[in-house]
Amino acid sequence: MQISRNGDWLSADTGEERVMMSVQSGNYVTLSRVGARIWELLEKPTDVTAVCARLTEEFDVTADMCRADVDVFLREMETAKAIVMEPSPE
Amino acid sequence: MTQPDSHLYSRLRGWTPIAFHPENGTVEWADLRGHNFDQPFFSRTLERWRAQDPRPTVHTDLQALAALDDEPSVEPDLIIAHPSRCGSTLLARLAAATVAPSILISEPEIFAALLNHNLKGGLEAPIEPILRQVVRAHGRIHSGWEGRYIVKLPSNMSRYLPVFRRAFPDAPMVWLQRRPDEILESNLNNPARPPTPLPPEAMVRWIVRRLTLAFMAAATFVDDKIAVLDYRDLALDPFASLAGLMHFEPTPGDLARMHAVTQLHGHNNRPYTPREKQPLPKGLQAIARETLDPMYRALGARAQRRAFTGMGPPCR
Repeated sequence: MQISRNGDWLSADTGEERVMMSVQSGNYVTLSRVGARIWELLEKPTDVTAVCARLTEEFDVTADMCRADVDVFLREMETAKAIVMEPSPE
Repeated sequence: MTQPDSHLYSRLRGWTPIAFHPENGTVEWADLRGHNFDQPFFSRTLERWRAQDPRPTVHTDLQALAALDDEPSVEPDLIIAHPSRCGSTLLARLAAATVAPSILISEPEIFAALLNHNLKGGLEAPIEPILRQVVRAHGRIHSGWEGRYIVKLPSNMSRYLPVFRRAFPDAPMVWLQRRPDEILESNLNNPARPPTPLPPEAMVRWIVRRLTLAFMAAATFVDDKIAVLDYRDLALDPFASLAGLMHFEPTPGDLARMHAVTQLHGHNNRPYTPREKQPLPKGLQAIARETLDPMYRALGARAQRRAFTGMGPPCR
């Protein structure tokens, strides 16, 4: 699954959180430290396997737990229209 | 889409839409004719109406807003946005006091309910005409002469400034702001009520989040017709601030009405009393300094450029 950022989102660090707001819609999301890192990893279109590979290197988390958490996070970001997920090109 | 109920709509001429119910997409109307819209918050206008004249409300579909939009209405003379704790209630009351009687619609729940519902994808029709209709519906001409029409948004609606601009392309707007550390201190001292009760730590995050979002919204709203006003200037000389903002020369009668407004706190109707400020925790000082101050300063710089070029909102 190919994951890309969707639209212009502004972000601001507020200590423990990163607050992000869509310039187009005014919608907003707040990200934890890990969520903010995933957002950074999505600067260029990528896939969930690559994201999880980086996160398991950088954080103390098992691959299975990482994948489950990342899947939930990506679904929430898709619902907020912050990302789009499309089938990877063949 | 249901068929318009023209008989019901004609009965609602002169009524005011007071609530939007997203669960069934209905608008709730109240007959507020004869009641001045002059309270510091619109919810208090409604409380007063309920206490004095509690006639039943009527629910319609959204189409009623369009069907009744041909009624004579004034359009906003000033739309006030702010990140909270900046004197916006004082500014709104002062602006409404410049001409009596004026219409003061401050933080009405229906605006937020419609805009939030639209953001969730709940509206089939474009939001701009609906917002325009509901704002105009609060500005109905009942007495033959309504002075000024002042709309004050709650701080968390700053993100909808672009929608208000598209709905009212010529309406004067002002972003009223204050040093972020002072806003944080004020919010910590006397927090607003979150949608659900929060433990103290989450409460602090909620305050910071709301403030950050409000500043982000203002900073990204690039608009020729929005003025930027600082709390310190408003506090220093409220009359000059308002006269500059609304481009009018106050008469002695105007000044007397405006002076009366400054004597009592809009939130509690008590005289203003200075309060000793509490030191801000270091973590919050850092957030104010590193995240919020750059946006505050950038917006302040816009105000200075505007003053230099002499641009400002017109006022009828």
